[in-house]
Amino acid sequence: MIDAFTGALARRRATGQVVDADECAATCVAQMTAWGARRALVPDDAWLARLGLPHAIRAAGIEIVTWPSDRGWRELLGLDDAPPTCAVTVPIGAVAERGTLLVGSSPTHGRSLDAVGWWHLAVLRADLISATLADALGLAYAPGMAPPSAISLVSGPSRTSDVEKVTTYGAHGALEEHVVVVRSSPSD
Amino acid sequence: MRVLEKLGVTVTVPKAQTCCGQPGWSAGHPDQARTVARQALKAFAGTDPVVVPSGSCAAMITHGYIDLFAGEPEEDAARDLAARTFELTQFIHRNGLTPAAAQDAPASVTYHDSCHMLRLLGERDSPRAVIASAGVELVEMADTDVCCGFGGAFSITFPEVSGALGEQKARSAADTEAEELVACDLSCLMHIVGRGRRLGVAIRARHIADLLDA
Amino acid sequence: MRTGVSYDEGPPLRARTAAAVADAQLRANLQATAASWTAGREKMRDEFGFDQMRDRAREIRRGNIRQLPELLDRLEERVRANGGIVYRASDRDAAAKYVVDLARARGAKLVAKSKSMATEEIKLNEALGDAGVRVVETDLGEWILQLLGQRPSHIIAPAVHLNRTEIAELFRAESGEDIPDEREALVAYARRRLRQDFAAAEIGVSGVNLGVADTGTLCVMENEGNARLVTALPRVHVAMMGAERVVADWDEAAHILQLLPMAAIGDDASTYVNLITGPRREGETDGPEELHLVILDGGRMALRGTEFEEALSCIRCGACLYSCPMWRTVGGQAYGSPYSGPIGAVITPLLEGMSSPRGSELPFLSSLCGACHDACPVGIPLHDLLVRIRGAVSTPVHRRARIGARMWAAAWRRPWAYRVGVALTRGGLRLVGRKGWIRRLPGPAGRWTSQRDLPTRWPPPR
Repeated sequence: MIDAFTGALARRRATGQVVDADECAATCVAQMTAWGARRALVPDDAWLARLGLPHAIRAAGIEIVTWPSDRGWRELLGLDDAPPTCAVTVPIGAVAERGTLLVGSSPTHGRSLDAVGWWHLAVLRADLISATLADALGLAYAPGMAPPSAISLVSGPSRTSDVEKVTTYGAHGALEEHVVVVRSSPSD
Repeated sequence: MRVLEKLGVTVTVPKAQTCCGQPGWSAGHPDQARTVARQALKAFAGTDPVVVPSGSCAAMITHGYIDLFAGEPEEDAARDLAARTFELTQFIHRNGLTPAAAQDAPASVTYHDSCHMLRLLGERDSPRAVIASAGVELVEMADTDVCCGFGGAFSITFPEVSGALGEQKARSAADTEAEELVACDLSCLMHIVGRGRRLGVAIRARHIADLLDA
Repeated sequence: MRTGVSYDEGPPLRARTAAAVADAQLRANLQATAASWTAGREKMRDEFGFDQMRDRAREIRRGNIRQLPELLDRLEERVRANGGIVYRASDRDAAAKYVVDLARARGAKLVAKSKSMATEEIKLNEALGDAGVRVVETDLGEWILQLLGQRPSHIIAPAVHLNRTEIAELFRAESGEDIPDEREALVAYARRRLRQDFAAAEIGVSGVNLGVADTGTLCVMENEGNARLVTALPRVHVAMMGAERVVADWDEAAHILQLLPMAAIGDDASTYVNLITGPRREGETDGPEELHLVILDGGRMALRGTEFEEALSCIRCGACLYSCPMWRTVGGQAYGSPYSGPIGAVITPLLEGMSSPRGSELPFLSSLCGACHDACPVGIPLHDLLVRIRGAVSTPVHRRARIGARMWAAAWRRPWAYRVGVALTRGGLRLVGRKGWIRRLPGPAGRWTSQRDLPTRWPPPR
């Protein structure tokens, strides 16, 4: 399933790699550095903290803004000379056959999170990957559970073909998407 | 008719026949189309299969009559006629007949899939099989299944659009460098050839029945 | 900012189509669009099992339309339970008025919109403009057309008829900046420029591709990310949904959400599908504080139980447009209706009336080739609907034509009259023709010879 998912990412014009938990933070920071990100927008997520990601980002000299943040929208959207920002998400699911992420909303994870930054880095637990869209949606909207107020099915970076019918990336959402798939370990 | 007789089929041509009624129906005058179509039901009453040298008319009978006579007293007669009506090449191919080419047949042709033939009758293969069995080379043109733009009254209600589509079809046909263009519908051919001539694209064309030995 | 030219003004339909035929740039763009759509369709068919999905999709949508009142009740109940507000708009004016009143009540000065054909249908931009509220379209193509004062040309890809040089000139004029005419630079400029409006708008307006009754979830599908920002940043979100756009549960939704991009863009996924189940929850810092779902009837419910009911199955994918030889020749703007192409030719008369100006004309902008019938992923019998609607149209022009049809029928039901008519025509043509051809006919028949030579016998002379 993991291989099917990472294989499908290419079709979505996204990239991805599979790592163990202890490699995750370094991998994420390497990707941010490769992109040239000078700021990271990171959800206040317990798992990310256990993976050591916020610490690793600071250590690399990249500014961290934690979500929820009281900075205004203009700042978060990258206007007014804000530093180029990578948004980090923690998807609640994924679809192997399409290379799609399910990005859900919560107080610590904005429904717009992946779209406000210039780049989108998703940190995905491998055991959250479903085979098909129907499977993933069935889980997300299982009866008896209150689903998130918003879930976005994210299938690659934002794009438009409104200019001469040629696909151009980085429309109103992310310019590039990279998924770091973290192999599950017993302590998760 | 002579093509079929040459193939050993006994053919009757009922004198009472007029028109299948399609021009009225597709232009939005169903009652008037029904009036004319009733004459077709009468003329072709019986049990013999009915052969029509036009994909459009055959589709009117097999497809359009179902809608046209739904809920009418003639509904059963219409369904019966629809079930035993065939376009010419459809009839030839399904009965395993193998006509030879006409004396003056060209060595190569390109074929236009007329819309009702292709989509309402679902016939892509029969005309091609008949062309092949006649020993005539078929050179496929680009976009053979795109409408030629005739469309009945459409040709005079939106002549510019009709002409634009006819131009594309004429040029596609000419680009194959086949000797002639054939189709199962005369109206398509008149439109394509006429449009071509106006633009200086010379195309020779014939109805598929004229390709065959008679 | 200009709110766009009204569809009701301007030259008549035939003149608009003739102008489009003569527009070489438009024709080239449309041809490229058609070719890429066809390639995508073949890929979906060959590699992703598109054809197999269509039968189930047709059954799902037919079931939805049969159960429509119950589904809408359930959707409404769930949306309210999630903290949303639901307004059932009986007609276009009521829907527009609801949004205008809301904007006034909230003191909104700026509305950010993502693409919605339903908002075109109700002329929302004009209504808001008249009330002194600025509206900005945030889909890149729609924004470009808004700057130009034009209407969208297609359901899925609005600016398909412009090239990058034209767009660069427009952006330079608008911004005073020197923007190169490279695609990346144009898109980057639009991103920067529109982010100002995402941050400032008090109200975000979106369409709804599908409502899922079971959980009260609204699905908004897109590629650019603007719908996400429009539905997440402003304090108020208004979702405009056609009443027929509802499915029962997530099994059905998954199937349709999978099918939609395959039919529309020839890919197995669109970039984003935003699944909205209510306004922001306690503790969340984005998402609207208020979610308003406006359910637009506007003549839809009245189609249930009629011979035109299947038109309601439409999921607005745009495939019929891309497959239509007429649309591929003239583009969407020539139709002059929010809905163009084959589905536009069908639902415009159904929603606006068989004698309405656009409704009575559009069904005839078709050669009845049936390509749309084949292309539709939910099996709407568009060819048959067009013929039935033509029979139901009633205008002075049509009634005059009906007199001619009666004369035709009276003659051609009689074998002798038929044979005489054919013989006279043949003879007449031969008399008028020179060397076997006629180049000009008088009267209405002159429309034939405006485009084509007419052979006086068949086969024509060599």
